[in-house]
Amino acid sequence: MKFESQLLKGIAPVVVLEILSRGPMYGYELSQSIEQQSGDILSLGKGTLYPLLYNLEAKKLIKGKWETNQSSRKRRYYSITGKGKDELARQKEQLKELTTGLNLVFGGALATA
Amino acid sequence: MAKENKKEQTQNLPACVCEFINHIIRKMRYCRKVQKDVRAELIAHFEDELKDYPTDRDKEEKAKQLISEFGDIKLLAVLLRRAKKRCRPIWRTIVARSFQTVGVLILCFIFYVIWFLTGKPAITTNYVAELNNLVRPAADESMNAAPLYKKATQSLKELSDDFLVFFSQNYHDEEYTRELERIAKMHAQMFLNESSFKQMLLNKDSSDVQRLRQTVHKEAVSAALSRFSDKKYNELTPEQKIIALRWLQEHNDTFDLVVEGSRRPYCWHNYGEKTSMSSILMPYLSEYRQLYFAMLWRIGFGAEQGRFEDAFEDIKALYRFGKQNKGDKTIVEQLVGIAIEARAVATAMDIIREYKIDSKTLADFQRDFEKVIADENFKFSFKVERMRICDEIQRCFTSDRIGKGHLYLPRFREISDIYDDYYPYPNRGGIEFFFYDLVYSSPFLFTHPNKEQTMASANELFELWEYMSPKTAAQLNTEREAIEEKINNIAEKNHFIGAIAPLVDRIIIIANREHTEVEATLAIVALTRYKQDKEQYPDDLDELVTSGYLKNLPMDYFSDKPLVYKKTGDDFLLYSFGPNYIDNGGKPGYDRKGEFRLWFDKNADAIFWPVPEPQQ
Repeated sequence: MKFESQLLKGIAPVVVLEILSRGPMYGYELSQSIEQQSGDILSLGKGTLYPLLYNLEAKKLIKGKWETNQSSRKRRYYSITGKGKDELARQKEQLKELTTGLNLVFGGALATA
Repeated sequence: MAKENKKEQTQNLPACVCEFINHIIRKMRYCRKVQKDVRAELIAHFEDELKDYPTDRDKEEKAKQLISEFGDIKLLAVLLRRAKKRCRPIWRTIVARSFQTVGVLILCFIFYVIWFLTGKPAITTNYVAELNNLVRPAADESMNAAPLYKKATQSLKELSDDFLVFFSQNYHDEEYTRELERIAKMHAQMFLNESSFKQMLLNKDSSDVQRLRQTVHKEAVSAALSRFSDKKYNELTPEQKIIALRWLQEHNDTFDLVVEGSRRPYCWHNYGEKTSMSSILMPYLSEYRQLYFAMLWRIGFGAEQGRFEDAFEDIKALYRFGKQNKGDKTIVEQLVGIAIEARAVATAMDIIREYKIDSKTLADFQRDFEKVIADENFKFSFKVERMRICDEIQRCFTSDRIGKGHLYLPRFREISDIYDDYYPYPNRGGIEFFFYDLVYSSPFLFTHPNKEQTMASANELFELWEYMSPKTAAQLNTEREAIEEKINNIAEKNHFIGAIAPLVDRIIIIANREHTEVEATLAIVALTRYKQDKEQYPDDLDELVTSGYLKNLPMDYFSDKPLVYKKTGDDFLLYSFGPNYIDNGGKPGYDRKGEFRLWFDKNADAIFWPVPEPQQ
């Protein structure tokens, strides 16, 4: 199941931050990782990925750096910054509250589904 | 090199991918460094996506699918640019914004300059036509003295051969010789080649040379005579008086025309059409100068020959001639009129001073002269001057097209030649116009009050003139500081008005001087008659009035009191407070050469009687 784009748009930054908090990644790797780790539920459109990364970089939540990977190819690796970690923690807290709220509204149906 | 780099980067990718990436980068329209980064990142992304596809065909198909997943190229490019823009450091944003602001300002300035320069004045009122209507009274041409004066000035130029011979025999001075040489040279230049001209002159007996000599001589005499006739009667040497007398005799009819003209009630001219007020030419004024001097010669000769009645008749004619130039006319015409009147009364005083004239002749003159001045308005009229300023405003400020109400540079530069200190920047012309005029004068032109504001300042000034015009010199003096302050305020607020407005206070003072001189002349005539009848001068001026020699006490418009009269033994002293408006006890004024000058010295009185001796 794929998410409605508007719904994903709201949570995409926090998803990216969460994935990057586990280690630096380049664009393609990140999109793959999101799909894999979300069980193919979450998928960032290709046209959304890079503008999103650049926006997070502009907000200093992540930083990009050109590095050579194992197959000797130059890739731009993105890693989370301290500010990014703070933001991620804040967003996670909010998501947690949102889930609690939604569970209350749906009578726990969301948690068991 | 850059192209090769790009090729190298994308050599493993399908053509559609390369085209897609290039398209995005082009649409991004951002700095090269960022474009390079984004390109490299997109290439890497596609490489990673396609690395597991072994054949080119598979790669091609997958690539097409990926491209479609990327969505609209234009939108993607915009999003990328926007996101990258947010990434740049603050100092770069400030610099970029500053450049943008400067660019916008420059653009605005360019538009403003274009707007400014495209404006043109609209000539909505033909002030010259209005002036022609203003000066034209409801009277037929037979009432106009101007045609007679024109005829008189034309006949002045006609000289009989007899007079030419007489003049050249008696007037061999440098001036004449110079004129002769100049005109001969001019004639020589008129020939196609100078050598043929010289050749022609060698043949002295040829009729051509004879004719040429006559022409040159006639023109030289005419030019020299024109300068000669600018001399005042009392400046003529005895030899020159002989020439002048002969010339006057030859032109008796001319002067009769002047006398006849002066008896007509009006004198008006047509100032022409389709011209601006500032370009009105008044060539007749210089011709009037000749008539005026010639009349003074005739008066001088008449008095010398004891023909006082004739001399006084000519004085009255001369005064009427001056009076005709006053009223609703240009400032120059009115000033010429005042000068002629002043000279006429000064000549009358000279004659009374120099010759013993019988009481009846003086009484006749006084009676007639009083009639001449009875209806005279000694105040200056500024009607025409107002029209001139209004005309100049409509010509100097833009009114139509895009730029409205600003100073119109071409006209402003043009009139700067007319009014000396009008334009603070000299006219360079040509290509320098852009570098000099625009750069240096623009701040002045662009910040100058607009047409509406200038018209408001002009109206303010006109109101002040209306207020000042009927004032006497003494009244003006008491309010001088307040008036000067008002005038300065207007001039400071509006450079244009400040520069073209005449010095009205000085003009009004000139009119007051002349009025005072007229009063003094009548008083002197009356005092001379009194002395002849009663063998002594009266104790005071009241006695002159009560005994019927004078209708009213002669006024001094520089004190707003009667002229100061003091009996001094067998003579008397008559004076005005003069230019400093205070009684200096009859102290005469002198110029730098020590010559007595009536209104010159600001620390002296204006003495009418007796004429003070020159300073040693």
